[in-house]
Amino acid sequence: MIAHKLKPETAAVAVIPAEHKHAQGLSELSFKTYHVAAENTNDWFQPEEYISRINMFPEGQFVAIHTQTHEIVGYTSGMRLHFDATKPLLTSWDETTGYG
Amino acid sequence: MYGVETLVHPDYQGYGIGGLLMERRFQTARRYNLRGIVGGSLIMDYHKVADHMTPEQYVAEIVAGRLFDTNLSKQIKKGFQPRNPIPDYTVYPPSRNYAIAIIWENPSYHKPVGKIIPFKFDQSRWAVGR
Repeated sequence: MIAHKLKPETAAVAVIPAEHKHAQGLSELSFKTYHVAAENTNDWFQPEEYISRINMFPEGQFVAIHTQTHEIVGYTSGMRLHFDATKPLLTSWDETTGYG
Repeated sequence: MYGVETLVHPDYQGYGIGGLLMERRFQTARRYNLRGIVGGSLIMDYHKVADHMTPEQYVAEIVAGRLFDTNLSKQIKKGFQPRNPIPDYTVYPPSRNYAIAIIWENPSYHKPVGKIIPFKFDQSRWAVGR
């Protein structure tokens, strides 16, 4: 899938299923996006956590790749959850995801 | 499906990449006949009004189009419905640690039909009184 709204000077981006080989790039993307300082990276997502998500539910993990540089520029992650839509969601992110 | 996380590189934000990523998640929900997607939307701009507005009031203003939130407004535009505030969702000062529960209901979801169990009627067991 190619992004349609990209500015003319911006290379096209392809959205593809995430694979284990993307884990290191996803970890780096999270530091850049959340503006995490290098000395604090141990508190944030490590490649193993992305691999774990891919193993758990590969159909819910996608990456956006710069088609020229092959840099990972986007990511989305979903997990299977039994949820009763008639009741409010009140649990924290850590509790729901098992700390990611 | 629970929305764990969506990230777009800061240099590429505003080009529709988040929408493309979310569309793939919608496709997954449709393909696997999931009821929908639920998640917690971090209200990134709530800190601007948090001193005089509750999260409920803030969401009402966003839904009415009088305020814009960098995160929640885009998710509403993508088809998510905001529900209740979630206090202490995660440590995130801009949202005062709040998230708003958001739900996208899969319009093509159909309740699975119950499994049909073959039943062989044994007439002799019911031949009473003959």
